[in-house]
Amino acid sequence: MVLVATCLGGLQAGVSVAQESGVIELSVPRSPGRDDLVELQIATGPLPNGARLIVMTEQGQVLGAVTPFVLPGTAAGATATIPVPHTALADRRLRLRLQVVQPGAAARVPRADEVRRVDIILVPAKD
Amino acid sequence: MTDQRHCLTRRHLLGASAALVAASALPSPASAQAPKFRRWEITDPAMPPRVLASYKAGIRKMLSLPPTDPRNWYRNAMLHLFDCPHGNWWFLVWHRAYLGWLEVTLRDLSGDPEFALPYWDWTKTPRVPAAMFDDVLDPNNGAFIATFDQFKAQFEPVVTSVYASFSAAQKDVLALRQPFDTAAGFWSVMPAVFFNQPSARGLTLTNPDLDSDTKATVAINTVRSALRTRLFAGSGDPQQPAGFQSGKAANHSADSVQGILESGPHNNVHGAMGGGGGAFMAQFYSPVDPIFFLHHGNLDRLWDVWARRQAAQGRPALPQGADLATWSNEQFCFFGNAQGQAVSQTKAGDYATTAIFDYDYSPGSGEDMVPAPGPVAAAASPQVFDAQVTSASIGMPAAAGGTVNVPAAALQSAGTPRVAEVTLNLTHDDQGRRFRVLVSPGGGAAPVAAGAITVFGHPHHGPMTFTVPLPDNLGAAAAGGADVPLDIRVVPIGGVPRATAAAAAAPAPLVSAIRVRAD
Repeated sequence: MVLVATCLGGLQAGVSVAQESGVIELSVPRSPGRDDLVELQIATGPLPNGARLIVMTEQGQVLGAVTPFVLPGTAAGATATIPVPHTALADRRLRLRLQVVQPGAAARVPRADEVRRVDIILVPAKD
Repeated sequence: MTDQRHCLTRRHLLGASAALVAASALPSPASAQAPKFRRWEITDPAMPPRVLASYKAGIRKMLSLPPTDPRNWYRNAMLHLFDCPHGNWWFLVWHRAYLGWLEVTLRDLSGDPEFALPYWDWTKTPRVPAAMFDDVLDPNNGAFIATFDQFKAQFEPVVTSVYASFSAAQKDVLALRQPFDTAAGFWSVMPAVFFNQPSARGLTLTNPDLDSDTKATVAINTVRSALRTRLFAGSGDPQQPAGFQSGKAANHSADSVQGILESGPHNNVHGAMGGGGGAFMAQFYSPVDPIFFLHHGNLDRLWDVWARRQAAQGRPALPQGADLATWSNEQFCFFGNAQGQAVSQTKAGDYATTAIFDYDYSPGSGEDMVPAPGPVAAAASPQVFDAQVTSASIGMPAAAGGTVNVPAAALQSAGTPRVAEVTLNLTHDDQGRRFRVLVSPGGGAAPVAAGAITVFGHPHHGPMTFTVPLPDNLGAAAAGGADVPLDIRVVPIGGVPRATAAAAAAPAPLVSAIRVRAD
């Protein structure tokens, strides 16, 4: 059984969010065991040409990046999976900072249509 | 396009018995003999020099073939536009077939009967290998077409002919990949995916490094996480794991949930090759750049590592039940052999293992994740050791923290994470405070910094546990297998401005518990 916690839209109210800084908080239902996998699943909308979404902990540790690699003219986004080390969790919580970076522009908080969904998934060791 | 009579249209495929080729989709038993061909890691000193010499010879030959020849270098790259799966469970198997048929063609055209593609282990070497800037291994070389206008002038008549010759099965595929369903649509896209020299590749000999964010995605921890995935492919539903291959989809042009390997190393290395700008590798005409095949070679190698790891742990390396036929029967209708003729192996299942092209890889990053075959050991319980907190108040003359005896074996096991879990009783005034966690193995050894704790974000109130990794080689302090008396202290990091005068005057939080966990 997969255990999931969801943050919709990344920047909406209802979760612990500081909208100005683009920080979102997710939590897993229980502390992960040794062989449990913890993964972020991020559904993005279209990003500007050459842009990528950087996913980091609140302290600035880069967990991964979402770089679209799609057929030209494809308006749809993508759903990416980023592994989360257990040490990034504090009291089963993970606080993330998301940034859109692209050449020639300052890093910025993603718009609501650029990050559609962020889920944290705990995949138990025993299926 | 060449005759594709082997390839079934989707109408024929969906109407066929579900049992069709389910059995034949199973990989043939592994040969007792070593594979005939070895794909070398490009920076390995043991790689024979003829590998790159033959790669260059083959590329030169393919560049010199007329556009009417399907083995022409740019024609071969078009297959990626017409047919490549991304974001679904056919991603790795299609690219295995793509690399394999190119390799067969290069072997023939180069005149080297032992040729096999090298691969790029970007975990080991997070930069474009220097050798890939030599001669035709760099798409900015003069042997390549310099501008889009020149490319269009050479290929426009040929593309028209190619589209007119597509089989029904091929048209079925292209109908799902608009605007590539027509020649006009093809040319509407090409200006966005063709890069004039010197921008054919963004990273250069003087600037070969992958950027720091991409380095995080190719780091060994990411690779290990991908290899630890136990599921071949997830359902493709939101909030369900993607699996190793990426998630299931209705056809190989459809999107699903991307797995770690595709999301992380695959996509980000493609993008990073632009060096902050555009380049062939950053877009779907990426096979124009010869490094494409080394990049995908590493991904293919990691699939092989994963499959061997699964087998060694008694887990399936292929889809199960009805999923096996669904995955195996997907048709790949565009591949050609060394003579430019359509291949008879048109199903995904034909490429389920490396046996079809009879190759293996020199060992690379992640190979240590394949355990020796044997009985599957029961997962060990995490080992948790509670410290005796001898001083709770942070910032006092007696440093806050405690001591805990941990068996040396728990600190010495390779590959297992060892952490200290420090619980602090926080108040609203603690927001912004920073602390350093110091660890000493006792016996007079100097403490070392294990990590830092930052109380960040929204105000907390009550106990909160922070996890910091323990330094390596703590177990070396034990004599004769004895316990290691770890001394763990929490000290304030000064100089952090406080939000209010009250916060600045408030005492530091108390340490309420310390545990060492060795999973």
